[in-house]
Amino acid sequence: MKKWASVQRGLCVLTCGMALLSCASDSSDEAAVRVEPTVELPRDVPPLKDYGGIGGSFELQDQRGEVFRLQQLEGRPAMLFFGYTYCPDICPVTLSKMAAVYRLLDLQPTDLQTIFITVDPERDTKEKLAEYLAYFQIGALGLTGTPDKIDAVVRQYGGYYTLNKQEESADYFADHSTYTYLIDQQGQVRFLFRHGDSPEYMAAVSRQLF
Amino acid sequence: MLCGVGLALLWVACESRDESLVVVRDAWVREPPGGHPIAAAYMTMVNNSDMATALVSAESSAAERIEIHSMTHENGKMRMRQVERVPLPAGGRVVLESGGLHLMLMGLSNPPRAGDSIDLTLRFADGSVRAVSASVRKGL
Repeated sequence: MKKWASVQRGLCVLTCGMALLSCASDSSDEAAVRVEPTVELPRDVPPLKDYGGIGGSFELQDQRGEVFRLQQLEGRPAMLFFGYTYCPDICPVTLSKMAAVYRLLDLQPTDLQTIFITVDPERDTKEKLAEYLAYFQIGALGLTGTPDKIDAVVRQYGGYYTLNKQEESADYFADHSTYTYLIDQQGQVRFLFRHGDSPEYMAAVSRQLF
Repeated sequence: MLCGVGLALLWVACESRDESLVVVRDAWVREPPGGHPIAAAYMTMVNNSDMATALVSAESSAAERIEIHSMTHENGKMRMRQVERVPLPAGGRVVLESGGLHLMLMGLSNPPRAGDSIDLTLRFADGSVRAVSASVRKGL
C-alpha cells in the first residue's frame, strides 16, 4: 500500500511539475516534455538582480564567421560564459550543466541562447569552436574576435583571464573567470552563476526569466 | 602469458583488498568534447600504509604525456597549475576530482570515447607503481 501511495504521490508531483514547466516555458507547440521526472527544482532561490555596472552589447564573430551582436537575440534570454576549447575541466563541466538546464526546463536553444566566448582566439579557430560546441547539442554560439575585442568584452562583463603560455611547450592552459552570466530578454545581466552551482539551481533561477 | 598479463591487469583494475600501499578507486576520464587530444582524469587514492608517500608521475600508452594539475577557485577565478607531486599521508585519502586536483592527459593519439577505457600507470615516491584502468565517461 505504502509503495502505491508513493507511486501516486510521485505521479502527482510529476504531473504538476510538467504542468508548471509547460506554463513556465510558455511554448504554444506541443513539444514532448523532457523534464527529468525525479528531479524537483529547488524553490528557495534568490530573485534575479540588476547588475548595473557590467554587461551590455558587443560585437564579435560566431563559429560560422558571421558577425554577432547581442541585440540580435531580439528578446531572447541568454547564458554567457568565457572559456576556451582546450579547457579540460571547467568549460566542459559548465557546458554540460547548461545542457542539463535545457533538459530540466524543457527549453529549446531558441528559447535561451548559450553564448561561449573564447579567451584563446589563437587556438580556437571557427572550426574548432564549431566542432567543440556541437558536442553539447544546445545550439551554443561560439564567439571569437581579435584579442583586443575579446579583452574589451571581458572587461565589460567584469571577467578575467590570463593565458599561461610556456616557452618549452605548445600546450598551455588559461586561468579564467568562471561565472556564467544569465542575460534577460532586454540584454541585461540578471544573475551570476558560480562554478559550483548545480544545474537544478541554475534551472530554478533561470526559470524566473520566463 | 597473455592470460597472465590479462589476469594481472584485472587484478590491479579490481583494486582488491590486497596489501598495496596505495589503492586507487573510481578512476575515470572525461570524454573530450570535439575530439580534442587532451582529457582530464580523476580518481580516489587511498594510502593504506603507515608511511606517507606521494603520487609523483603518471603515464599512459594512450597519451604523449600526463601532467598533475591543481586547481584553485577564488572569487569566481579559476587558477590551474602543474604540481610535482600529490602528497598521500599515511592512512590518508586524496580525491582527484573535477574542479580540483586532476591528471591532464595530453597528446592523446586517438581521442577517447565514452565506453573506452584508458590504462594509466601511476608512480609513487616510494618507488612503487600502480596500473589502473580508467573508464571514459561523458559529462559532469
